[in-house]
Amino acid sequence: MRRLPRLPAPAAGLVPSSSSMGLTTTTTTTTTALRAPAASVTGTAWIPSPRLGNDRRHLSTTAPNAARLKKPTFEFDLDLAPEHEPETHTRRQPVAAPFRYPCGRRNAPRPDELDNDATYRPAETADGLEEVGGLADWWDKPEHWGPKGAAEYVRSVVGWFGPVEKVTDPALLEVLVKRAVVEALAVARSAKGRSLEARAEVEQVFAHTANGAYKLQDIVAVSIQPSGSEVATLEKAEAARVWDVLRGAVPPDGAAGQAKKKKKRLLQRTLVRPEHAQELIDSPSWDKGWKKAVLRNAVAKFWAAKRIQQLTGHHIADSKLIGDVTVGAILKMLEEPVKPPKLAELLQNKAAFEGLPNVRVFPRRVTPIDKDKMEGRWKIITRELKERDLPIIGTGGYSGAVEKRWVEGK
Amino acid sequence: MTVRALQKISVARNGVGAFVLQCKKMDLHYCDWAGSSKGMNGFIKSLLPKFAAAHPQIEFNVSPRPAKHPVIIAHYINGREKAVCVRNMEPFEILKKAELLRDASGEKLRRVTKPVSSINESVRGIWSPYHGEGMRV
Repeated sequence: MRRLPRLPAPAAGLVPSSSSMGLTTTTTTTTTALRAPAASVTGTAWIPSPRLGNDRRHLSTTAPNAARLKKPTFEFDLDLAPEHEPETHTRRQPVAAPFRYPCGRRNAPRPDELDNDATYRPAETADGLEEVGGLADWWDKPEHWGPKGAAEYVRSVVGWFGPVEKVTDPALLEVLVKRAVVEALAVARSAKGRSLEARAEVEQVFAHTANGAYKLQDIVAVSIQPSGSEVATLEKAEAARVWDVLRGAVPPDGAAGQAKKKKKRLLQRTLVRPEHAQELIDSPSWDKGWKKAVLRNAVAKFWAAKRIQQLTGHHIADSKLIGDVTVGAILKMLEEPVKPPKLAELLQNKAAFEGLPNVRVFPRRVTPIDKDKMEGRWKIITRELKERDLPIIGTGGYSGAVEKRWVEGK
Repeated sequence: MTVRALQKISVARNGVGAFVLQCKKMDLHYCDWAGSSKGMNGFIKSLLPKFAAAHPQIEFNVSPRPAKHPVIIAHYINGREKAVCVRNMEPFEILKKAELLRDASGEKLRRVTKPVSSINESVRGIWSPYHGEGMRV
C-alpha cells in the first residue's frame, strides 16, 4: 500500500485508492479538509477508521457496500483497521539567534479600500514601477545579524572552537602550545574527562580561558619533564595545582559572583600579545628542552589537540597524532613553512652574473608586450591601434564566439 | 612577412676566413615552483655563469615562465630558432643541450649525402670549349 506521509492533509485525503479491499489509509494529522462529505466524488465512500478516531477517514473508490458502511453508528470493523501506528509530527524548535528575519508579505490597498483618493489606479504591469526592498541581499546587511553585527555573531559562535584568525607568530604559537600541553597533561593526570560530567567541567574551564591569557605565566612555567624523562608528564601535585588555577577562571554562580564574573569577562577579552610571548621565551627561566618531550598518553594528546585548536585556531588531524609525537613535531605542524626564495632574487643577492653584460635576468615572465617594448615597437603599435579605435590590450569584446551572442540575444 | 636578420655565415676563403658563431641569443625559461625545473634552476645557479662567460658573443635572457616546463630557446643569425625542453634533466645534461644549441647552425636538419659542400666558386672557373687554345682533334 502506497503511503504519502509527508503530503499535506487536504491533498492526501482526496487521493482515491484502488486496493482490493476498497480501503486506503492516510497518515495525515490535519483534519479540517476531511470533514467534508465525499458525496461529490463519484463512486467513493468515506470509511472512518476506528484506531484513528473520528478525525481520520479513509477514501475508497469501490462501490459502496451497504453492509460495510455503518456511517450513522460509527461502529467499525476491526479487521479493516490500518496496521501501522499513526505518525506524530513534531515541530522543530526555532533556533535561538539574534537574527532579524524578513517580515511577511504586505499587499497594496485595493482601489475600493481607498476612500480619499479617487485617482488611484493600481498598476497592471510591472513596467515603470520602482523596485523597493527585496530579499536578495538580506543577509549582506549587518543589522539583520543582530544588534552586534555579523562578525560579532560569528565570533560568538566560532569562538568556542577557536579564534577566527589563526595564530601565526612563532613566539606566540610556542607559548600557547606549551600552555595547551601543560593543561592537557594536568587534565589527563587528574583523570578529568573520563566521564561525561567531568568532561563537561573541563570544557567549561577551557571555554572560560579560551584566549589563553588567564594566569599564563603560572601555567607555562611548569616543567613537563620533571625528572628529565623523555615522556611528557606532570607530577600529581603540580597537576592538581594547575587544575586549581584553571578552576579559578570559572565564575561562581549566584548574585555574589556577579562582580567577579564581570572581572573575569574583562580578563577574557585581553589577548596574549606577541611581544609578551617573546619576553617569556627570552626569560632565563624558560625551559629550552621542553620541545623534545614525547606525548604518549592518548587522553593527553586528545586534550592537547583540542586545546591547541581553541587557543591558536589550528586544527591537527588525528592521523598526525598517531604514535609517539614530540611537542616540537606538533609545533612544527602549526608553524607556516618558510617560502623558498625566488630564483631571480637568489641570483640578485648572490650577484651570480656580475660582470657579464651578455646575461639579463628578469624577475617575472617576459610577455609579448615586454618584447615589443624592448624592440621599441610598442609605442607605434599603441598609436596605430588608437587611431583605428581598437582595444590596445585584449579583444575588446570582439571575440570569436559571435554566433553565441546572437543566440543569447545580446 | 617577418623581418629577417642579415644572414652572416663564416666564409672559408681558402682557409683565411673568420669563424662566426651562428647562435646569437639563448632564452632560458624556468619555473620557481615546479619540480621539472629543479635541474634547470641548478644549471642557472651553478653552470650558467661559467658558460655565459665563455661565450660573450651569445646573449642570454633568463626569465621565469610559471607553471611551464623549463626550455632553452636558441636564436640564430639566419633568423631561425631552436627550442629544447629540458624538463626533469640534471644540470650537466642541460649543459650538453646548451652546447648542442650553441654548435648548431640554425638550419633545418638535412641528410648530407655529399662529402664536401661549399658555396665558394671554384678557383679554376667553369670550363668552356671556346676559350683557351682548344683541343686539336
